[in-house]
Amino acid sequence: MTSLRLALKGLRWRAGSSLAVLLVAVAAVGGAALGPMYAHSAEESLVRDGLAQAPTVTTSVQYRGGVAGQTQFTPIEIRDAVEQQAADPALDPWYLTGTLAMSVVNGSPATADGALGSAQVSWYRGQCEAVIILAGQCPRGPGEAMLSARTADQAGVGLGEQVRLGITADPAQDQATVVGLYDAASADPAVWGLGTPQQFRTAAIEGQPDRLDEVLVDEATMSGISGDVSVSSLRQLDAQSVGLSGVDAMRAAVETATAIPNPDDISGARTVATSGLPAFLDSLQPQVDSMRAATVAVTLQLVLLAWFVLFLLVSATSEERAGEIALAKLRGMTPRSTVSFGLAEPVLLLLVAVPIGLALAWLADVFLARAYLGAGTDVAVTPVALIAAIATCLGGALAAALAARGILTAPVLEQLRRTSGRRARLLRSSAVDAMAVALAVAGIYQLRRGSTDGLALLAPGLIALAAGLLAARALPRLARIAVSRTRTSSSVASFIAVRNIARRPSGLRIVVLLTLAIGIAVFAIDGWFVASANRDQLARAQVGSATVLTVSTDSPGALLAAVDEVDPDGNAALAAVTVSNGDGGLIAVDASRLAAVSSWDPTWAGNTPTGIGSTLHPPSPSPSIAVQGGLTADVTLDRRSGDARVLFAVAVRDARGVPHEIEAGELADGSQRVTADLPMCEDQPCTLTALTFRQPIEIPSTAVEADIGISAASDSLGPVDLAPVGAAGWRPGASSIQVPVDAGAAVASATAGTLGLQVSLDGPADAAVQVADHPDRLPVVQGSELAARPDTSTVVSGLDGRFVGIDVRGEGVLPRLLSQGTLTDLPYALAAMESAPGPFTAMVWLGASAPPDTVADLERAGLVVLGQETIASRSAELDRSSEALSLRLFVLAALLALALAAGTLLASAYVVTRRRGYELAALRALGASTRTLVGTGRTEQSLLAGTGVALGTAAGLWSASLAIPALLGASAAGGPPPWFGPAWVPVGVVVAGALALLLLVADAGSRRIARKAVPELLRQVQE
Amino acid sequence: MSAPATAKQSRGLGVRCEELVHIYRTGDVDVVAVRGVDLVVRAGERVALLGPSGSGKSTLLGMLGGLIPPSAGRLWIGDEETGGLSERALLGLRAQRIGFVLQGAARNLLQYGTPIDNVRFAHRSVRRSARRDLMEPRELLDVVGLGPVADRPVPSLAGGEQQRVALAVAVANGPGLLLADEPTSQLDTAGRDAVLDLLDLVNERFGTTVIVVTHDADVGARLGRTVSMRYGRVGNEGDRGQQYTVVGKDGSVHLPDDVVAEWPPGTHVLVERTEDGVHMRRRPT
Repeated sequence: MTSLRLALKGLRWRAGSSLAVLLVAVAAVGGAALGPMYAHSAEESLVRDGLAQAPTVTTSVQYRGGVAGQTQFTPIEIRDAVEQQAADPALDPWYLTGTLAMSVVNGSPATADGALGSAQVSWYRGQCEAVIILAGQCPRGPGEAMLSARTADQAGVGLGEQVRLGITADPAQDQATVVGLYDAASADPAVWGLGTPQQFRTAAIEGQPDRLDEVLVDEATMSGISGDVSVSSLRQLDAQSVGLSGVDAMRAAVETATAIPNPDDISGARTVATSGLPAFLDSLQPQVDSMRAATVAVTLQLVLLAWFVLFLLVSATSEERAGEIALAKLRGMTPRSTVSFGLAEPVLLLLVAVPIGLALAWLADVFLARAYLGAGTDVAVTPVALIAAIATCLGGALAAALAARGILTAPVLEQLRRTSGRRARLLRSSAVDAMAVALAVAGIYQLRRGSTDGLALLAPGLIALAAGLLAARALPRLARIAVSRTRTSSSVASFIAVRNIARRPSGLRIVVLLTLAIGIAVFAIDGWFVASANRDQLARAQVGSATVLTVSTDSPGALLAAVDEVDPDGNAALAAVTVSNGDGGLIAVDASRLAAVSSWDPTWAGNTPTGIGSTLHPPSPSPSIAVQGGLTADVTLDRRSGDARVLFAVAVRDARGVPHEIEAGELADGSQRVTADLPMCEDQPCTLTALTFRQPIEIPSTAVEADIGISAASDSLGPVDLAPVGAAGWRPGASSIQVPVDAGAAVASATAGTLGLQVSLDGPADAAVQVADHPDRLPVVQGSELAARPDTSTVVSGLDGRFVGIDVRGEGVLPRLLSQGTLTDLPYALAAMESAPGPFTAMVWLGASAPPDTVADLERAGLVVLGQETIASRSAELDRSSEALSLRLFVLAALLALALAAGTLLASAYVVTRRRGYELAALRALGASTRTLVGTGRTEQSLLAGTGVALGTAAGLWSASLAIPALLGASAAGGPPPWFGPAWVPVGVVVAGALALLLLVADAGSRRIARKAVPELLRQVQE
Repeated sequence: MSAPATAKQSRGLGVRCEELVHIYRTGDVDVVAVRGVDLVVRAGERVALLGPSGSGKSTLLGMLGGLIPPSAGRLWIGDEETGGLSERALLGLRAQRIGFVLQGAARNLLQYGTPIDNVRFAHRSVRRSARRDLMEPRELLDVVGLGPVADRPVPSLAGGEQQRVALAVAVANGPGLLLADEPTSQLDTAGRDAVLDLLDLVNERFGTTVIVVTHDADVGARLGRTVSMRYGRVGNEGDRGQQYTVVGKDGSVHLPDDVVAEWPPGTHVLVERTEDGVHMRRRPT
């Protein structure tokens, strides 16, 4: 207790230096603890973000049961079995209550007038509250059905009408009255689970029924039928309920729920439970591991830096206390008592620093979690953080012991005379230098190999440390050379300053510290800004424009028309469609609007935004030829050989972009008037796409060669000019890829209003000529990885799922598809379609300057907005990736390192005041002015700070040039070409700021020492 | 000033030096600070080491205190020869048998403590079990007349008070030998006398042998025996007012200053044995 009281008195006596050591110790402990705490929070955020962003199909647990193959069970028995299994209480902590649905997937609703199409007929638990009912009511009992308003409109069915559901052979069970109309877009996913009632799709094959939106019926209807009813339940993950500590338990619960087949339950019906969650968690593991590795590296560097700083400060305070420690030895205290007396004060400060540092780390983590991590991220003082804090404290005590060792073993009278003797040569130890350099070289080797863990992550710190240590070796030698030069100089301050550098180890330690701190800071700042710029670029490429709406629409043509209606000038919105194919997908955009709307960057595929527009949408040879109602023409058939029958057909594309081919009839020899009825072109004009000639299917077939003339074409509006640009406006073949196969038709002549064709038919193949209102081959830009494939095809699967010939005009990174897939122009891709579009995803891209009511306008134009993403939101997501979180940790470490360095420099000024004061007092006694004394300290400190900053900057930039390509290489794969920096501006700002701060500190410290350096001090020095 | 009834102080320790030598190196030059000193101090004796700056008296004091190892010669503190002692044993010697007062009172004290704190600090070098044999800090300070300032911070004490506290701290563990380096320098007459009174008290009450380094001849006179050093050797000794020149083992004799003034260095002297002793006279020119 007496010792504690005495130590407290000593700390109060040295309030300035005690506070300095305490602050540094707090910063050190806090920094060391913050790493693991932040890592814990970041890891949790990573997992929660990953789970939140993952598709429901991945994270949910899905239960299915079906009557198919289990005819011994009724739908009710299967429903009960599924419901019971889905009610698994083990999942309750993380999963919402399960949905329940009973469906017949391939119903075929029909009215008395005929089939409406194919549709899924379903009942969902809670369906009546989960959709907006636009008219009528929800089905309340057997024999009632509800259609989507769109389907009802499409099929011309109204409320009260009778429909057959087409789900069972029993007419009594199959009959239903339409009692309600609902808005298909309003379905709540909490009830619908993975499904959506929006299933309307135009039939892909002419003559086949369209796919209708889901037909909703009452539970009793589904329970009572004897058809193939599938029952499903889905338990959605509540990502917000997932904490890092519960992930393992959640995974185990899901694995248990999905691994064990449901034993026979009350009904004996078999159900199956599946989930993609375990595999998804496995896919997150590399990110988590990368985050952990970065955390270990950053924390280790921080702790080492903190130890080093504590070593510097404690050795300085120990030297200041040399007289007191000498007194202990003079009184005959045992070495143990002397050590205990010597270390009591720093150890006390370290112990006090632990709770304060932990508390500050917690507060900092709370701030960081709120500012940068996902909402609700847990902040906790983890065991690892506690260990790191205690390790820092123990390391600090060890550093204190090392620092005090020399003082404890020095002769008493030498200490009392305040001579430095042979103390504190640790840093100059060749072994330490060699070890640091060897580790740095190993780290560099790892980085060059592209490794991003282990020594590679420590490399920035190691390189800076090695540079600092080598500088500490070289600086005294250089200073000794400078001593002889400054001896003849008129500047006493310079002479004394370089002489002090030549002989004082404490100044060299400052150089090591500054080199290390600035090195880490420059690396972190450079890395952060470079990675940040790359993330922004990646977000721009992944999204495509400032805002991208995913919409529901009937066809790509309807999408194009709606966007054109809302934004006729083409400055705010752009229609885009993606379709899946085996080559990474196809994205078709309205290329004429790319420059105004998209976030296209010239580095992506070597083209300007304007340039890529004209690349994808070059002028077409011919304008489009519009027809409305029907097409009538005078056709002359003049056979040159063969007598087989010749059929004539007209191909058009309707206003929705859907192609149709209409038989106009068989051509007789000589002249005749032929009419093709085009009912799909009654309301809105269609676009004439091709004229086709074929033989009826006859065996054996015979060849025909004929000249065909077409003239006086007209539609319901009047004459139609079939040759607006002459023969160049037509080309052989119905599509580009048929040309080599079927070159049986060619335009021999084309004058105003008249086409002269040469037709050659042989067998079942068609002969056709097409309107050249789009390039023969679709101009495309391919993703770099697709383009690099040796088997690159000359065709691509188009919007209709059929191959279309392509003209590859560039390669690089494509919006949304990145280095995969193919980018093309949407109007041309539409023009190249030969059949109805296949499954596609429709999008509307909005530019940054799009008016705020654009979304509402698009909805008024008939588009249903399903989702929205922005570059900003994507950037925010990428900012929470493991790479970004790791680099943010590096930035934190850098800021802390800078604070520690500046704090240490300032603290050193306080701590060494008395010691240096004796020397300067002697100079003052010899007549040196205050200006000279201040100049001495300022010059010395500035030289040390300047050396540290210059070397640290060089080391940091070099580390960054090695590490950033390795760190960013993996994450940049497949994205826009990465930029490796350096980020000169932020680095320059940080370096200049640090240098200015250090110079200010040096100046303040020098003034303080000079002020205290009065000759009276010398009286305390023994003769 | 009353003597403590229960104080258990060790008896005085004698000191014996034989041919003590100390050489230190400065730059490339070896400097002989103490050259062949022979000195015997009896237990309980009070001795002043006198001499000009650089005469080696403080170095000799450091050797007596075990702070400076002798380069040659033998040294006994009490019955113990210190030459063969380990550093730890020397610490033990200073912990309980030797009290040391450095020049400059402030350097002997923890500035952030009170006199009580400083005495307690000195007690730390004694095993806990042995501390009950020592005077309580406050009691000791009362004995030396510092009771009223026992709880005041050291920096607030006057120079003389600080010096007396330093002496109190030095004898806190009951040493048999007290070594003090210039304990009266920088003090006014009253302060000096108070310090000398304290030294008397320590010597008389506790039987402590006192060896003091001083420039002040009056201090020497007050202590009784004086040993004068010049050029690292003991030149003269005084005892109760009588000054004697000490003959060195090599036969050298340090002449008094007034004689040196008359016979400058280089003077040839004739040494003649006579019936009543030895006579020295200058060689006739």
